[in-house]
Amino acid sequence: MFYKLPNTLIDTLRNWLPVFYSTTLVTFSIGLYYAIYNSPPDYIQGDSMRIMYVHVPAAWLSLGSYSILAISCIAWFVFRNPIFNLFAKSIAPIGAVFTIIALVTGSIWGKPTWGTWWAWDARLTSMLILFFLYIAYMMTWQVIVNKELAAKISAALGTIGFINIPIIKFSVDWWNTLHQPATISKLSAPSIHISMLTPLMLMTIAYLFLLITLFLIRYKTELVEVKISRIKH
Amino acid sequence: MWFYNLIVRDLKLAFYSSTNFLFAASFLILILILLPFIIDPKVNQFIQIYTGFIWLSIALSILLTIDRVFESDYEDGNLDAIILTQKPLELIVCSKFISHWIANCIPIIVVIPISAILFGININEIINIILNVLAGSTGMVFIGSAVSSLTLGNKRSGIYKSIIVIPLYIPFIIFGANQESVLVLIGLSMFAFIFSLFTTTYSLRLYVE
Amino acid sequence: MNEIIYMNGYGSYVWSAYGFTIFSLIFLFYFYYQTLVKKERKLKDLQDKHEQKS
Repeated sequence: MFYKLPNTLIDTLRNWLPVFYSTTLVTFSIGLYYAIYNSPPDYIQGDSMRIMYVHVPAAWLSLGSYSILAISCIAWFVFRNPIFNLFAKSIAPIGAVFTIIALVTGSIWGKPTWGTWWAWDARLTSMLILFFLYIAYMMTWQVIVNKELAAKISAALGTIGFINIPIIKFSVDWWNTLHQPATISKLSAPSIHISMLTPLMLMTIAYLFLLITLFLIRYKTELVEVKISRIKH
Repeated sequence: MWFYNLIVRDLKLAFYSSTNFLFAASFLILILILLPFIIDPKVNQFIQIYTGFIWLSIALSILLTIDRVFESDYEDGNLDAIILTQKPLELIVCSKFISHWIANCIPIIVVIPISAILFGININEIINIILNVLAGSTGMVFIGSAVSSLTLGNKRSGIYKSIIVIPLYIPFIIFGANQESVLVLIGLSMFAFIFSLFTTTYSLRLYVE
Repeated sequence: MNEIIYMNGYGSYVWSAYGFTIFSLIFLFYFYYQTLVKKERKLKDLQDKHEQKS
């Protein structure tokens, strides 16, 4: 490959990773305690509202990780530095799993609340498309033999799929169907009570730490793979 | 002249025996045979269901036959020979598109009126469906050829091609199953033509250097 | 305790959702960690062989 691989980067990661492991465990425990025990059930939906505490952070972070993937792909097109490909390759499987979690928990939440496992409204369909975008991105690296063509196609996929993110974000405003409108937006005070906001934010922070930990593990794996392929040649 | 010769060569390969003429349409024929067992043709909205099934089977049969565009020529080295003749690569790709479209979609367009008569559908609606299929299938063939050229020489790329191609077919199917949208389909096909031309020439250059 | 397990009638939904989430996250973490350990072992082997040769 054509860039210097700083050996110190792998060593730095080796020193910092245990910190991230413990932080993730701690934040998850606190978040789960608040979500299951220390928060009130909803007035209408009862205790099934607690599923929201795993569903919403997973959905937010799957959108966030696709944004990171798309921005890395655009940066690769601009700068042609292979490190952006490594970022995107590392974040793709994590985002895919978060999307599955969001889809499955959302479907489980939908059954007691709105009576149906699935509906083809705009937000759910575009989340499904997001999942397939992740799968297509990951498969491109495995299927196409010529590595520079694989880099170009996967970067093109990541960039073109970026249009799905605003569709998902604003679909509940544009088409008013099954999924509920956003209760937390940046421009106004959240319309959700503080006792429910706390577990939500705690679970989001826990998921975020998990994302960073998994990303660092994957990134380190990719760096080690690069080193292996360089030794072989 | 060589353009015409390339197209004739591909068509001869596709239709080398008289039974091979309906190969691309065989999927359509199978689905249309099974259709009366699924739903009674005297139902009110049958034309919608019929159109939907036709578009579904067109999408899937094009997906099945895109391997024949470049793969078989790539494997026995003919693609290298054609490209080494130093003719403009864009025109070679265009000739492949045209011959592939003729080999795949003319049989389908022949089968549709026959089956429509069997199901008792009006002549107006038949003409509408055929116009839609003419306009839409061109775009689908272009996109299919482009995606198959991206994964040349790779045996286990079947599911990958499907994952990329099916979402790209969704606009064609949406507008095709509608009745009044020939112009939209022509526009989509032109868009697909530009996209496929650039993608195919780029990836052919990479694969056959 | 009973209230936590049954969740006033929604217990099966809530616990299946949480269970799926935690299971998939743990599986993901475990899978990636094992891959990293395997690759690091392979790198160490290759580096030792390389040093032996030169």
